[in-house]
Amino acid sequence: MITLLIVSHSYEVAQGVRRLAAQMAPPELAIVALGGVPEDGVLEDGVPEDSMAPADYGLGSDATAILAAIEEHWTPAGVLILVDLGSAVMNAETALDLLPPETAAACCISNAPLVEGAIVAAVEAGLGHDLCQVNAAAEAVAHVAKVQRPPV
Amino acid sequence: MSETLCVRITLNHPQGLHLRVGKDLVTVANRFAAQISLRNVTRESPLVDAKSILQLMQLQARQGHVLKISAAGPDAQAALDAMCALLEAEAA
Repeated sequence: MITLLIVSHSYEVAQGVRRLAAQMAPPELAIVALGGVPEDGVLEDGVPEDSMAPADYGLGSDATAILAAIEEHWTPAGVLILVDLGSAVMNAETALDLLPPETAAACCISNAPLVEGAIVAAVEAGLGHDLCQVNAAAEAVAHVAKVQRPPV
Repeated sequence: MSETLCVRITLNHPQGLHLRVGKDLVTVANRFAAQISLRNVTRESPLVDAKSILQLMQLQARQGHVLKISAAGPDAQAALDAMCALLEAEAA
């Protein structure tokens, strides 16, 4: 089963998307949320990362953190990286550049919209589909109208 | 070519075909070899593939809407029974 990595500029967005996606997936699917960057001074104060509160995070994304998350959660089936905007995409690309080529080859940065894409990816990945299939289903979300309007 | 079996069911859940039920339907549908399709009869929607969450979300089915479930294949009857059981359990 592949791993889903959710990358947002916001801690709360990343956590919220992870919760939504987890509702759609079996418990064995790994969904990792990465959002925001530690506020100035938080790390210097020696606060351990796993006990940081949401308020300890500012907005932003960090290639090093993405790299560490991929290294920790990588599986041979692959890692689908769902991103929100701009520099989250660039930082994900940077992280892949820093990985050994064979590890990076089993990672894919998705073009899917973050929320809908994560929900569809969670269902598809939970069914055991491969990285390309899951990403194709998630990216297809972008072509679906949310509101059905009569033709003008 | 095996025949296509159909059943109509009215959605009774106050939230209609919400996300979690959609996920459960897709999970159940994927256990069967049969081709399973759904159509929102009330909205006159096109036929969608029950094995795809993306397509199910497009049914936009609310409480009171009538869904038509079709299945074709060796285990079509079992697939229909399972899909209906899920939707009926959800309504209870």
